[in-house]
Amino acid sequence: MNVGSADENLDPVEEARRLIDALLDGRLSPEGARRLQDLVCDHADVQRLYVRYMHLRCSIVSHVGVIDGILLRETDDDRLESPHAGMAETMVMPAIKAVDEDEEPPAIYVPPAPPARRPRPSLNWRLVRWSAAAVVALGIATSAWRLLGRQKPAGPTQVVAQPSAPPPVCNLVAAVNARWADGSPKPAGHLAPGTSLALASGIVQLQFTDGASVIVEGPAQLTTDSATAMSLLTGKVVATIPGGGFVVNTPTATVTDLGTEFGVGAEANGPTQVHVFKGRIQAAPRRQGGTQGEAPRVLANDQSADVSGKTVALTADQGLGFVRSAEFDARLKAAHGSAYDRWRAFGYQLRRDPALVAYYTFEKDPTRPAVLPNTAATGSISDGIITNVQWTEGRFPGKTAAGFADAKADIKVTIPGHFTSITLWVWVKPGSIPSGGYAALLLSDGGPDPDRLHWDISADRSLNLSGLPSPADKQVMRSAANAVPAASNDWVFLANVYDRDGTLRTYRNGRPFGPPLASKAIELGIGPAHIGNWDAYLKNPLPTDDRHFGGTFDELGVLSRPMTDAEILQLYSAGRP
Amino acid sequence: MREIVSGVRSLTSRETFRGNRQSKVTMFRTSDTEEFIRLFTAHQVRLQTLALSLIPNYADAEEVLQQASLIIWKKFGEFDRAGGSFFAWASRILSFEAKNYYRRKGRDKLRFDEKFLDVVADRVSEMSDELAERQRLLSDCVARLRPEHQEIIRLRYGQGATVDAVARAAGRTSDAIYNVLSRIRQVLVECVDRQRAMEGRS
Repeated sequence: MNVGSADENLDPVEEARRLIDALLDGRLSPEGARRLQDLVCDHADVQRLYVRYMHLRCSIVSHVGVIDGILLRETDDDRLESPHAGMAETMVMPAIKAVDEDEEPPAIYVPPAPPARRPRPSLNWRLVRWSAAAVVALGIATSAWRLLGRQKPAGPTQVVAQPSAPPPVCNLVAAVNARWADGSPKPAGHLAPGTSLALASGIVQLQFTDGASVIVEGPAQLTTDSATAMSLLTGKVVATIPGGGFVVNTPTATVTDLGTEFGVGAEANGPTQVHVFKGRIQAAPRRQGGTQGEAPRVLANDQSADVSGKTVALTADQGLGFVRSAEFDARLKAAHGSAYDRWRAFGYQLRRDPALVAYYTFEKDPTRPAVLPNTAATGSISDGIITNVQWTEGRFPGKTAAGFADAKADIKVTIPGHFTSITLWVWVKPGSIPSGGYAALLLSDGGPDPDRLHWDISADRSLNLSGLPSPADKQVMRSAANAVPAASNDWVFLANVYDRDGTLRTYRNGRPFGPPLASKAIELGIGPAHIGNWDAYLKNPLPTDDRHFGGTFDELGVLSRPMTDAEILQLYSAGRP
Repeated sequence: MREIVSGVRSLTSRETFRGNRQSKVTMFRTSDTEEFIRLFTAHQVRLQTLALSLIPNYADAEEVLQQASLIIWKKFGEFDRAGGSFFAWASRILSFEAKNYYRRKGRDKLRFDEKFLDVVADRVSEMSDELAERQRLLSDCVARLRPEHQEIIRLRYGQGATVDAVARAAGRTSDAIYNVLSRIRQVLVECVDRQRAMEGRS
């Protein structure tokens, strides 16, 4: 089966990845080759991906010897049905039978202990063959073999024995911006029991050989005790253990996992903070000297506690203070330089702001395509319900956005609370202004409700924030005309900051647009509302009430405090495509 | 392959014994040879990468690199060993040979146009240092794959088994093996990316 038809629903990198796979598997059609060629020529990211895959294809041959320590036989027989294949069928069939097309992705596997490897050849037969022309031409085969470091297959007596080294208890598998404390050796790969680590800053991931994955956020000091235990002197860790049984010791607590994901924070002179993300743990006070304190306590989903040397005291939710695997992965990807990845990583930082009321990232959830998740800590109460919206390409390759071309396109949300200050921002492609004279960004449902907030764009393309202090006192604050660009194919960042003293600041693409506007201080509420439309028009579509947005939404956020100019610029910079 | 090697032997033998032709090939000393082998070996996988990036067929790419390696060898005396980049110099020759290949082959195979060849050759040159790092880091990533996935790589790339043969051995469908291979490649590329990030490179 040849592969190669263009898929317009995929971002270029993902589409290219599929075409490259087909190319490497010898299944790429001429049409696919042309498509791949276009993608490579048009996208620097695709060029890098293409080269990395080609390099993998070329270099993996020289690493095959790592897999089983067997030096492959030198041969010119490159036929696919080689005599080796039959031999291999017999040899590997049991292992291959475990491979299934439906299985989870081939995650990096960390063996319980490093296998004893035979000395591997520095180059395999194919590498030698590729330079054989020059070698043979000069009749220097002997010296070439020496120069190329070719070794004969190691016999059983040449297996490297590792009798004295203790088996490793964990691996340092990934790190983001890790800086190790002065005097602390930079660890790498397998870590023996009793290894002390002093992470000055950054985040690292440890994979313990008994299955626990531990994310460590610096500054932190810890020791790898065994395959099932670690000691945390200071810092924060999040441990995920599929089967349970992992132990984190701190100066004041012993935290035993009962099959879960949990966070532990230790300070030099304070209680240990514990939070359970999933499952259950047992938290036991631990007195100086290692003796146990009072009776341990079992904590379950979303519970937090402070564990002193004597007691376990439940506290308010401390979960936001920990870096979990999703955030770690996002920050790891961000380190590679994709703007999309950097924006995602910034989102975790944003979500730690307790004033974040609602945060819609417009990333389509394939399992719930009609729901716009609120990704702020306020949670699903503010999830949006999507109607007549078309998912489309967002501002980053691979990201989705919501198209509002349909006049009835709408996302219904409910955002509780009353705010004396508020920051609202969007990333949008503006559409044309409808017949009602305004295009909705976020409109509370109509009616004489003092809580009503309307945020929209007017016909002169000013950005309006209106509140209603009382039924008789409507207040509209309007930025200078043309704050919002005309309908175009470009993404624009728009923000309003309303402060408790009644001033309103408008921003376009991270910078203030016009001077601050002075007004009276009012309390604003949102409540039931619609993104990109107005309930009055949805109920009764009179042309004068038409507020439908007409463009594309890529992000919308609500913060119950005024952001500073610098914060707005940071918000814009993090999300700039 | 054997024909190419034996052709090289006879060609070089003739030139070697002409003595006074002042051919650069004949003027090589042992140290030149060792220097050439050292440089060629150090850059070999990167040159392979360039060849395969330009020519979407492993056997053809191999043949073109073989041809280019002869020319690189013959012209080695022209290479500025004091300050030149061997890879940049050799990759120009290889790119030229790739274009020659397409001219010879006509339109009967998967082919890329000259703009593509230029873009990719520039990109490979730009990524030369990265590719050397990736080569170093890949072994750890391969070693961390699950044993069953290591076996698939060994069969497919080490033994040269077809996907159908791997599938038959595993009692699976070919599509299943294609999917697994695709995922293995992605995991390995991303693993090396992570390793580079750990080392402060991106």
